[in-house]
Amino acid sequence: MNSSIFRRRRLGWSVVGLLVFVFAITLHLWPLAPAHSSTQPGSPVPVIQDQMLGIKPNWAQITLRSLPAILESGSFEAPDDLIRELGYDPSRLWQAGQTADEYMLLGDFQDSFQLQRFSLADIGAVVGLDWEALRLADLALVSWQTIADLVQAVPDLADLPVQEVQPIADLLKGQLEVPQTISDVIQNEVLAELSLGELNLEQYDLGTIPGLIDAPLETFQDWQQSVIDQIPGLADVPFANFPNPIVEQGVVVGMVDVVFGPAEGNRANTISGSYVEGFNVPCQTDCAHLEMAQPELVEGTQWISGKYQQVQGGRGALASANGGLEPTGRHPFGNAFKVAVLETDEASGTAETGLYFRMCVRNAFVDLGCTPYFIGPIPWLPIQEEGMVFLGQIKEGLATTDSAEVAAAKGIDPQTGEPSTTPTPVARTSSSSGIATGGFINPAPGYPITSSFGYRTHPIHGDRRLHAGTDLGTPNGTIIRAADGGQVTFAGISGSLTSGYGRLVIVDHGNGMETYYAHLQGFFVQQGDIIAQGDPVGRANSSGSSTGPHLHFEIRQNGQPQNPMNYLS
Amino acid sequence: MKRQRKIAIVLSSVFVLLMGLISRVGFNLAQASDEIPATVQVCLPPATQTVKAWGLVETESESYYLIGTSWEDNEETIYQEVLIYVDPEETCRSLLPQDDPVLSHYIPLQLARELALQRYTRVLQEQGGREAYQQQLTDYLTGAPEGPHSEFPPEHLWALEQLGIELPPDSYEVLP
Repeated sequence: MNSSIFRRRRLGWSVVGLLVFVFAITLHLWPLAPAHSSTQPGSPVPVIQDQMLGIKPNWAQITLRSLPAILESGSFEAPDDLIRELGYDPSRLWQAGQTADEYMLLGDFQDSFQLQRFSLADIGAVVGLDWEALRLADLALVSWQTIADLVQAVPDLADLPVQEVQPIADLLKGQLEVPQTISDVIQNEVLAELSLGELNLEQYDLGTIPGLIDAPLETFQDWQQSVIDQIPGLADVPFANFPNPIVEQGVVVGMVDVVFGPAEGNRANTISGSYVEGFNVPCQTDCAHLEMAQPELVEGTQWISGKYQQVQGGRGALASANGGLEPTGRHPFGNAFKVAVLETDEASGTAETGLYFRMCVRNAFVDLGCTPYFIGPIPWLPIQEEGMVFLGQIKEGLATTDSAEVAAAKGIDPQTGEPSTTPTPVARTSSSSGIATGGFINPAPGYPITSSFGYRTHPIHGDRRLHAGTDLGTPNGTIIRAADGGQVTFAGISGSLTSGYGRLVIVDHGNGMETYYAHLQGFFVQQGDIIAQGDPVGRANSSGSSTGPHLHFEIRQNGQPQNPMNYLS
Repeated sequence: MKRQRKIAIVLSSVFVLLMGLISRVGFNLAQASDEIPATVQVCLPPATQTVKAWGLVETESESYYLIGTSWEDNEETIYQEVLIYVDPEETCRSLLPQDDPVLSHYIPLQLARELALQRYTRVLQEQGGREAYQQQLTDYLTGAPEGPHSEFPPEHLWALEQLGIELPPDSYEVLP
């Protein structure tokens, strides 16, 4: 009897053990979701729980293709004089239901995400491209390249015999005398201007033009006109992987107190507006809005609905598009798009929000500026009373690019935006100049060195001068970043706009180390700012004594110029 | 047999390579405005693409050439002045190290001054005369970026003075 019970017990334990084992194996093999990552109920995009910023978009999972479809159709019709000035027609049409990759162009993001710095190989490394399946026709910009354009984008082609580059060989078929090498072809003005668009590009794979996939998109002629989904893989690159990845601008997270409908009027304490009118644009009628409760910095302020209030936007010749107007809103994620509150529902205490894009047109010859932000709305994160909403920068003391760390180093409470009595030391508290890491990063990575550090003898005057820095071949408008954290000790014109350093930023990193960023176009910082490594300090230009756009970058130790290349990591 | 063929292939490759190099150097030198004696050419920096013969001083048996050389390096044009000495056996030697442009550190002061005088005499001719060059040099020195100054070898300053060219005070330094 006992032995039979024991036997049954032993059998039972064996079954339990087996089940536990199977369960453990299953648990081990089951794919676990990454910590904190989720799709919030009602949210049209993946979000993530951030310790400082609360619920925020998960930029590692959001792409231009995965953004929700645009809700309204629209168009931009370019006037004739503008088409003449540009040499092409930038008119555009978008339909409700399309995703951003289908109607936005590379040029629209040239200053924000800087997608033009990608090569196809870079994109492939992120999203994994099936190179064998891709045809030249899949990279639409090839169709408007001439042979000369192609050689400018892929200089090594010049050394190749014509017969080794099949599309060019085919393009030259029928010519009386076909030159031997491609460099010979581009010496001939007529042949150099033959366009690859004359070919059926479906018949060639990408490998038929050696080096094509390694060329940055910005090296091709009129790359700005390329629609995002006409560049293989680009629509699937997460925002976090962009050359200039999206960053939260500022640190203020507000709590929504009450959601009001359009019956409200006369609201003056607002935190919404535009880059043109500022972010405190009052509202007289139809003032649907969110009223903020916390933190103290924004208590009682109103974020007015962009569905009901339009404000002035845009810049340059394109500013007149859409009547010069855009929905009122905010830019918590930078200037690539705008966030607007849309419909509000007092009964449920909820509000919808949406994103708006803009068009920008600039090439080597002309800068037409940008339209107002009017391409939208694209459904964005929903809001509810007592819920948190990311507001970004509120106070002047916080630059648009400040991170929470930098705000803390500036002595500004990231929760309130108010100066705190004791600045929070962030790193290297022994340093009087803030948050230097001790290492230096390239302020404009990916751009070639066009003049290195060292003495130069003048070919006429016979003197020698120390070229005290390294020149990087940055095109106009390239964002220049601080090589290390520190305090800005100079942000202004040194010499004049045609002599000397031109627009110059100097950052003091402590321990006698300084960095200089010269020939800039404009500044993101001002004297006294404390900035972190990688923060934008300005945009590249050719101001001062300079023969073309470039960054002149110096590292000085106790005032003495050092070779930057010995310091850059 | 196979080995001999291999050696022949290697030798012919080296020959083709050498011919290529020689023709390239020859072509590039031919592009320059100045003729440089073959005995001097071998002492020029190896990357040299264009040359300018600024000055020549000959003693009874020796010669000193001041030559401007330039070449392209990563899209940057590098310019360097070299001082070449040719001995009685027609053997040349480059005297100036890359980091020291002062001629009188390596040859007698009188010879250094003579070479510098020839240099700036030619500059004046090429730049439109004394007045035009005076203006050009003044603009260059006063429009310089803040920071490191222009540095001149003393014999260069002596030559400029002989030619009546004045340098704005505090706009340059004299190399020791």
